[in-house]
Amino acid sequence: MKEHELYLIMSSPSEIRNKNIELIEKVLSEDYNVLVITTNQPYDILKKNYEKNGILLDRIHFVDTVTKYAMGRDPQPAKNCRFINNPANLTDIGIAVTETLKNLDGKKVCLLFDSVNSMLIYISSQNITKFIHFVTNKLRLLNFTGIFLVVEKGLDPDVLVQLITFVDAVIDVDKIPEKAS
Amino acid sequence: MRKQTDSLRNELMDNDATAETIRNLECLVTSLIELLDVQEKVVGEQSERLKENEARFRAIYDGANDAIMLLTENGFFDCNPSSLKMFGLKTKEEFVKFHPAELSPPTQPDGQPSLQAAGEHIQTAFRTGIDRFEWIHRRSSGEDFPAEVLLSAFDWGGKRVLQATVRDISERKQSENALKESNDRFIAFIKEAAMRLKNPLEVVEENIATMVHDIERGESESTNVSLGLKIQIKNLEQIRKNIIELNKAIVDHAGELSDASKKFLTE
Repeated sequence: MKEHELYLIMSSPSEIRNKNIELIEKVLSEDYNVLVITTNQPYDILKKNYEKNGILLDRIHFVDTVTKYAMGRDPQPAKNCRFINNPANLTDIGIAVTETLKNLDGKKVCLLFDSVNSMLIYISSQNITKFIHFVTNKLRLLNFTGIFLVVEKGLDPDVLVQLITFVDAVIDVDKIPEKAS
Repeated sequence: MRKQTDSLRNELMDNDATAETIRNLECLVTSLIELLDVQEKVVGEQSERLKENEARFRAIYDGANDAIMLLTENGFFDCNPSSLKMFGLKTKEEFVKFHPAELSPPTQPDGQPSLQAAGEHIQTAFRTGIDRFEWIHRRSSGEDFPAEVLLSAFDWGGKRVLQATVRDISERKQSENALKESNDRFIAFIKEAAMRLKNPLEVVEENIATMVHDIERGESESTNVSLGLKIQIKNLEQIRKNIIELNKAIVDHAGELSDASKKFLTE
């Protein structure tokens, strides 16, 4: 893994939850901070999942776009989570990402989208690629080190081609052997 | 002269042999004169018919909406009024100074120089008798326009020439392009809609399966199950709206559909 490089990590949708856990474990062990932008699983469930797998949350930050939307009201505040009112509200998501990254200035960051397929429910593929382009540009401008972008396989090839242009390399995690249990 | 002729005739008619010969000669001359009259009449009628045909073909040539020109390898030597109108030129004398390539942009859309391409088409028409192709021409104003060209070879005054019939197909091309753009937009929309249905439904399926798995293993709290299911309900609501949007696009594009079918698809 080279410094200041952006990697696109791809996994099959059925495996992405497990692969995300493995990825988070690995990058945390290398002193990375993780920013999870979730339009799929709510913060409470992700938090429970990570804790169940022994992952400490002190270096994991969340932008949760579904809890407030599903509940229809403000959830209990969480220290390391920003709640957005709607998964289609890219403006507020962008602001939340920018402010979180500002607080991580000078640190190594891994950015994790959970998930592009669930974003497609609310946002067109064109707007998703624009948003991801915005985020990757911001990461490059802020000079973050060793950044990952995790998406599922099975995306429209035209969308995938665009995402690939934003990164320096693509990694297919399904081709990486699973760790021994 | 006539009196001398009559006097000579009367002298000759006194002799029986010469009288017979003279009578025969007179019959021959009369016949020849009649024959000449008939020929003159036939020639006159043919001439009239030729003039009528020429006038008819000239009317067709001059009155045609398509531009019709006559040319050799060296360039044009005649054109009809529609040609002048098409290219924005005032007189035939002005028109015939041009070679077809000079009434075209430097290159055709395939990148071939117009002079070279025009030469190839002219040679093909002379060789095979006919050549039909699409071409980009240029008016005297500098405006380029798409055209359909038909070159036909025929004999004219003892030499082989070409008739070029040129039709401005700008409107047809615009309609074709508009239709292609509309179809391309529709297909792009269908692809996008399919992606925004197929992949998200897989997400909902995975999430519900995970919740069922966790419930069966006693690993989930009811609040989390409730929240998880509320999110999937919201997801499915939005997917249903996406389907209605897709149906609206199909209805707009499809044309003839009954009101009942439209209502079913779009509500």
